[in-house]
Amino acid sequence: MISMAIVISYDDDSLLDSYFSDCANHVVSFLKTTQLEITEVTNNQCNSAYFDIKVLPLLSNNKSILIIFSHGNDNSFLCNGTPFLESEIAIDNINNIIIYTNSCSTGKVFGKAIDISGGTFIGYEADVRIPKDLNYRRYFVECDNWGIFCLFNEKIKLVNLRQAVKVKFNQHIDTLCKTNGNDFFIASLLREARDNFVVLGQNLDRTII
Amino acid sequence: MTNIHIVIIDDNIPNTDPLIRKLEKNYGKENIHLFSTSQDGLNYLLDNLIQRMVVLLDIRFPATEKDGHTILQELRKKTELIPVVIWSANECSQNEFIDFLKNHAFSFIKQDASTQEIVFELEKAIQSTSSNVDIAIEQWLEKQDNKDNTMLVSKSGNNYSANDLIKEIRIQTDEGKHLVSNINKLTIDLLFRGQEKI
Repeated sequence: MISMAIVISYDDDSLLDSYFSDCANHVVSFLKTTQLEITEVTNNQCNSAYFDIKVLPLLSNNKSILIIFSHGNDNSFLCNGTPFLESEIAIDNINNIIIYTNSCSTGKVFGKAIDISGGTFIGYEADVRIPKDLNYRRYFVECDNWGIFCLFNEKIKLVNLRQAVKVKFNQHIDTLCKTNGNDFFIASLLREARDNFVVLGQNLDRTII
Repeated sequence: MTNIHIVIIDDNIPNTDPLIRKLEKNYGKENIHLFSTSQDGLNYLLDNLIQRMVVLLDIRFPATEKDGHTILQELRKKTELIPVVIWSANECSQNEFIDFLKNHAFSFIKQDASTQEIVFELEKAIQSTSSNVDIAIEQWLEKQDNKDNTMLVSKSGNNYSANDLIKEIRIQTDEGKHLVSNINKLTIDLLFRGQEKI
């Protein structure tokens, strides 16, 4: 059973502004309503050295969920363009971990490596596009984080998580298509993110709390 | 919606021709572009792919110039979004006809067609672009307040302004095709989820 959440966020550019920390704040304010112990790792702590020394030991008890909001690529999570967690490190040091992330593309290689090593990966397997317009941001933040609410509030099984998150995406897709501005373009970005959302792992027929 | 530009590539038509006058009257003088050499016409098209355009293209040109087949073929290497009405005094052979079809010619019209018939054919070509997905996206992007400001950012770090996106779509880059494909997928998704009335 998960008793600790480690929430990492890193905003390293002016393009997405505070998107990743907005996501982290959204999740943390929810997690504070649960019994979970929360550890936050933010911008200036977000580097591979801090991760190795401070974060990895917290993950060794198999009672933690690692939640990461940052840029990413197929094989790693990035801070300032530099990997702070790569699949090789994760496989060597963390067994049976649960990783939840909104980073793009990490499901492609990193997530599969976690799956093979006995862990669980929840995130995106391709690039995800976000509108700059803050009026649309909340739809993306909420969809990115919905899985956390489902896992800890609804206590749904991992095997059902993808479908539960899809429902939230669909709700926002339909809302955007209905608006008088015909925001089908933004809805198409959400549709794409929805279909790139994956839950990977061997043992998914379980709740995590 | 952005202006439609009508590009006429023909070595025999003067700019005083009644057809040109009629088109200028209907669509605005600044939106009618007449080229008497095929290469000049092709260059204009390739240099202005981000514009919304319709082409009236002659087949036969002097032996020293590229003919209509080559012009269409070279245009199609860059984009399939521009409708091309083939305009010729001669009947097409079967092989020519197949070649034009392969390169997505919009329609064929004989050069002795009346001005009214030609304008009607061009209007059909223009209407065909209005229902294209790329035009729908373009119309949405045109509504953005400042089209040079970043409006879309990927979590992998790429960013695009509305103008960037219009360009990507018009010149059919991978990113542009991806955006158009996304809209098609959204439409299919809404249909399959019974949300077609949205």
